[in-house]
Amino acid sequence: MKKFLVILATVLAGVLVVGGIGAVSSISQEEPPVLAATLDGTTMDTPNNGTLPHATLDLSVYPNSSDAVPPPKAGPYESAWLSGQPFYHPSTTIQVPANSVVTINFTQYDSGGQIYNPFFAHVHGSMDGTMTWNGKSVKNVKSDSVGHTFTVHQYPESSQPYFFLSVPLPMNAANAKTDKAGYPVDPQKISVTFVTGEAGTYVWNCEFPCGDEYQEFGGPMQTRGWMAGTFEVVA
Amino acid sequence: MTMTQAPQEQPESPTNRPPSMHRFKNWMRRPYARHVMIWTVVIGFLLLPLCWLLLAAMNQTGAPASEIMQDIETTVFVFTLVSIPITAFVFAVLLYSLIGWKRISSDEPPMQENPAIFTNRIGVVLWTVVTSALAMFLVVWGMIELAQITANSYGTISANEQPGGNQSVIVNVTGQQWVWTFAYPQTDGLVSDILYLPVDKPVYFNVTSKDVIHNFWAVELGVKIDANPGAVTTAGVTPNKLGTFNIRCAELCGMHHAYMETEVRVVTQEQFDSWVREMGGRRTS
Repeated sequence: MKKFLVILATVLAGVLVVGGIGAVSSISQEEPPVLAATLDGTTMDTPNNGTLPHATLDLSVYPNSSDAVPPPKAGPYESAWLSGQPFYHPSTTIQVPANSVVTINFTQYDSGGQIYNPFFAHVHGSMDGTMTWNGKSVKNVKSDSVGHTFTVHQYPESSQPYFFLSVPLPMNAANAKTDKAGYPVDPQKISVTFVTGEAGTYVWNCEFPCGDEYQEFGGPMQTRGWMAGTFEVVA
Repeated sequence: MTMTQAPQEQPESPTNRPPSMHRFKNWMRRPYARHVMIWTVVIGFLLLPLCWLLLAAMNQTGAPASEIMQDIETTVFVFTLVSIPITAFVFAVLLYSLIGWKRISSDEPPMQENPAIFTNRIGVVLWTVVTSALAMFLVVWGMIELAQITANSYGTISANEQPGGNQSVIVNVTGQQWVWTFAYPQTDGLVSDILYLPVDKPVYFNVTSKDVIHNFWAVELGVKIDANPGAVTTAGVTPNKLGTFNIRCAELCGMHHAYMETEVRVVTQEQFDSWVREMGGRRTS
């Protein structure tokens, strides 16, 4: 009987340890909540796909969290580790409708500088190769004036259509007037419009080195919820 | 499995030993030697499909699209084929040792070993010659194929110093977490996230990275080379098949490493020129 109890206790202890590790791991790697683009009831003409329904999505980029803008909800460990780092808000898990025209409106509150790869200072994959920056239509920004990028790329699944979208988000000047939270009162406003195809799952991340550690590609650059996430085209 | 114990041989004195060939034939007539040989053949045939399974695994994303990849696949096939007899023999001895020499029951003593084959010239020569010949074959084949692949890859000479001039295409490949970009220095600043190449034209790649170490792997083209920050590595290939193929990163490079992939589209020269014009590029050299 004693032997049986020892075995039972050992098994239960093992289950608790493994389960505990799994629970902590699951909580710390929790994906941010889904942010879905909403169809606004209008349609738009496209160059190659006829007339399609139009959806919009709003995203902001903050240099750090504050009382007004809480840090991303992507696990307690990451929240503590990445305190004071830039992040996209309100989420980095994004859903857009398939076979639609989608407009993403960005509000960019962060500073910036020289981007390592000028390719990402240009707009790629938008409907007409341009974006709207503070009301003006542009194809690119200066490579030394980039704040962040929103770059969607392929997921290793050959059954889905190829998709690539990259939008440079211009920086705010270092001496820009800021509010109490330290955010520019007149942030950069960028809009990009693109056409989605069939359903598929992609990933996105920022291609401007805005993190810490080696070459500033660490920290938030390597963490979903901050400067990276998933981009799902849903039917 | 039950075993019949082989008759015990008396120790031989150096003066009255029978000839090597005779002793070798006697040794081969023993049951365990015959069994091992039979098992070797059976296991060898069972392993034979490995050759084709490996090829199928290599071709899961598509058939070779260059002579280099074809050479690589042929080498993998031949090396696997040649290694099968050795593998089969080792496994046959291993399995026979586990099964054939096992203790029958706890009441019986373990079988006595058959006398080993010592200082048998035929056996030693046969074993040495066969294994050496196989090893030499692999070495020679490998050297020839390596020379062939290096020649087809245009070696390690800088792409700018390669012969070919306008007949070749130069592509500057840049890896950056987690996107590949391809610049065409012979055009007027054309850069793309998809690699376009004309068929049957030599292509030279200058590969580098903006952040960590990546590895530029054009799967069906048989090109695989490190992309190091602060350095340029070179490789080359001549695509010989039209179609869309895969490019991946083959060096663990961070969170989205598994998603660092894109396409290489091998098109006709006319389609390539048309794409360059469409992208706003202008061939300058």
